[in-house]
Amino acid sequence: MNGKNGHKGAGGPHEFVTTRWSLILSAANVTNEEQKARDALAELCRTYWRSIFSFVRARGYSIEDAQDLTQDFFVAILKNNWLQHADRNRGRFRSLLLRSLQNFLINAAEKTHAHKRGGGVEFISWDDWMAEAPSQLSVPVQALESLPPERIFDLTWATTVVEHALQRLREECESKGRLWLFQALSAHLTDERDEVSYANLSAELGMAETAVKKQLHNMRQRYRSLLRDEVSQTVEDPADVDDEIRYLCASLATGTE
Amino acid sequence: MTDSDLRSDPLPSATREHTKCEKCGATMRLDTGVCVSCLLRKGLDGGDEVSQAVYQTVLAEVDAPHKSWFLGNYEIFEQIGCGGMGVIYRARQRHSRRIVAVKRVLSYRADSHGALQRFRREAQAVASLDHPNILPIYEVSESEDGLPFFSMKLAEKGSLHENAASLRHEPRKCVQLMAKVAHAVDYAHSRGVLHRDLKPGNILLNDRGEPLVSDFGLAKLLDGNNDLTRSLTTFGTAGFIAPEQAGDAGADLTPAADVYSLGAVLFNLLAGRPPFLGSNPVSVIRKASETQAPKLRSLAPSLDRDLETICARCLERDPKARYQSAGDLAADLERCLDGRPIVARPVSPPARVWRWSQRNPKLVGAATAGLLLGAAAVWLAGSIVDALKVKLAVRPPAHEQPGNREYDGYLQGLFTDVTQPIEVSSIGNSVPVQNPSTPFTVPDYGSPGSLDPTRPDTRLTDAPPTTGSTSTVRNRALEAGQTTNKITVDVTAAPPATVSTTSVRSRALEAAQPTNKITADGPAPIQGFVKDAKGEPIKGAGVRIESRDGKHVFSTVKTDPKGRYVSEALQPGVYRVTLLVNGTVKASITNTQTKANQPTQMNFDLKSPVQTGYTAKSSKKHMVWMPARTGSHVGGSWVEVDDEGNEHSGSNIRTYSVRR
Repeated sequence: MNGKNGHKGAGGPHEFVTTRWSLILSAANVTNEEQKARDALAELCRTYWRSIFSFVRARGYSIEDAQDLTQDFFVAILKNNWLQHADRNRGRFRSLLLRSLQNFLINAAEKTHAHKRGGGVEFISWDDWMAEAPSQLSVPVQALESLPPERIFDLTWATTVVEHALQRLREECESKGRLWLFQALSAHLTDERDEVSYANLSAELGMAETAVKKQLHNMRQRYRSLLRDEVSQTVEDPADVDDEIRYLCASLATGTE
Repeated sequence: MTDSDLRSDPLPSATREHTKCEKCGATMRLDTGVCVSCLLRKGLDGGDEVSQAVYQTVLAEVDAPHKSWFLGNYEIFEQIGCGGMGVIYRARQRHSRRIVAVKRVLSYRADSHGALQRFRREAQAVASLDHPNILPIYEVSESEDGLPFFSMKLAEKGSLHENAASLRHEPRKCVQLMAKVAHAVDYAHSRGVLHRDLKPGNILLNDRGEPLVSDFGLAKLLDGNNDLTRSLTTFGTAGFIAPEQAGDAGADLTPAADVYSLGAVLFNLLAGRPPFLGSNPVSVIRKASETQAPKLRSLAPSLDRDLETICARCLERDPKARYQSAGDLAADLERCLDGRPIVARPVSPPARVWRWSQRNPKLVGAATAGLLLGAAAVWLAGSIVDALKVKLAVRPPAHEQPGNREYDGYLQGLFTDVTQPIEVSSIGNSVPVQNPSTPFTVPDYGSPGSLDPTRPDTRLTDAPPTTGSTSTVRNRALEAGQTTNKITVDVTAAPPATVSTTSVRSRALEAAQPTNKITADGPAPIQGFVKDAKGEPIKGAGVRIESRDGKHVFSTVKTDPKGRYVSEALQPGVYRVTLLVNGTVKASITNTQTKANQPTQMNFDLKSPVQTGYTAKSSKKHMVWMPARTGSHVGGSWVEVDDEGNEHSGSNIRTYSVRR
């Protein structure tokens, strides 16, 4: 196993455990690691299913067909030796997944009428997944109408990263009985220091201003760590995290021009 | 209760919100209003990593686990939902200790002083709505940062959305709920408040399961100059808003917009999905604007047909074609519950074509020009070889309206096999039959578009419009009153022509005879008189009752010396009734609907032209061509409709088909 604990990213010391993607890549040809790799891959797919589904939908498939195709796609990459056929030099999980998805859809279009899709394998429980992670992204109308499927894919991906990080932050607060703190402060995660009215927050929360400052500061830092961790799971080399974040930021900017 | 989980499609919700993030210029936001791009950029900030362990320690420094925070007089417990305009918390009022829901406007949405003023003023107006099925607002206030919030009753049982799965198996309960909701909405309309964002998530249930409409008017009230018009929520639940509402943010909406939403909610409850689905809210709205809503029973076949009709009426794209008030909807829902006939009628195919042609005048021009020419060719060929046979078809009757004599002339010109002017009246509906006197043109019917190709034009022939000789066929309502018996009462009792009452069912309603009470299928005859212009019997006259396609003859009877005929008893159904004089077919009326246990009256009156002057002023009439091809039949029917697309029987010759 090719652990990457303690990798140093561009932003300073990181606490990365083995990233899922690096684990998957390293274990692909190692028999006894196969199951671990598959679990990791399944976990990643589960996290980013919405991007895959959005892409398929943006290609013009109906909801039902898109569900079938997404399902089939997951089955294809989880059951078959996807990685052995994939061009692993492409590096990032996101880009490799997208390329594979594009190829998959080309083939699927040919096979659509040849066989009943799904084969009885139910990898995705749509209702559960949707209930578990309802998308909270709101996109301008023009963007949804005009963006190519690849952009939609990236947009959804970027949002998933953010939502996952926020969700983990929320759970950490909740586990300590401080959900109220998350609810009160998370809206200010992106605010600059001078934009926050600590006096108001202090009054609302019944805490000293200094305590509010400290909590908000730490919440921002923790959020940042969680976000970077989310991204790092999808790149082979944690040094690529910054690049990946910049790429996703750029995709958001493009989508909103 | 979040809006996001109301979406039928797990794609991002669309918004017309153009507010760019002040920091990065991006417009993608989470539902909480936080900019996605900024959240992502945070990952690029420098600074120390904070591990979970370290962070847990920092959290523990706050000495109040499970503590609440306060918003005004409200102790906030937890967030229970968020939507386009704000966040909703479960909270407790400080002094009364009452558990309430508190909704707070998101700061980035309240970015102008005017908008806030408007919100406060209007929220107070909504707070004055006092109805048992409207969620009461307790207090409108503002927090220390100047942002308004309000407290309202906390509906413990959640919304219709959350209860949809269990309700779906209880259609009756769904209808009961929606009738109450419609009454509540009607009440608010009477107070000048439109909801504009009715959806399952906004209809809550109290602890007794009674519906409470929430967010009443707030969607509208939040609309200020700062383009809050289309909140994230509104587009996020596109399946429930009226097409006209999505099309133009500044549109003057009427209660019909809420009626649409009520219909969509009912549809959703009964069918398990909103009327329109799409890859994203924009496409949903587009579908809602461009296509007819699916029929309810195509998704839930076991449901009552009346429910399908009610939903369809609500979901009409043209606001004027919907129930004109939520109260009307409520009344029809209650009729449905009571087993009484509903008022709404299914929209007839001609009306659909007419409405479509109104929306797509150019398309119609291109598409039907060829059709018209084809029809003309068929007709001309037919007249030249004298092989044209005309069958007259009368649909189940409706209220009478003055028609258009020139058009009648056009139609009468086709009756080449009728040797003398006659008129057929049946069930309050008269059918003119006479020889052609002159070639004809089809006149301008006052259609909105001068090039409207849905009506015949002068390309058919160069001859001038016929006038005098064709005037016999009009003024049927009066004549029906004179020449038919009891059925005439139905006609005269019919209400003014706003709702098409063409079906047997609706006539029964007008006559206070609910057809749903008729369960036996007892046979009954078709009967009536055949008389000439002077009211005398005609020698050699007989009537043949056939199947609609003419392949089976059920009964052939001759008139008695008084001109009366009575067919054999027939099972309830639809028949063709053919009038013969000395073995020659004079008229053939298809689609004659008969009822169980009740003779169907159909009189044939042969009149001379001078007897029946056309006096009524023509109101705006338009002709709609309903193409049809069945077996050897080539052609279709011209159907007369008014400006609203309502088919009516005013012309008496409402339909005919041409058979080669």
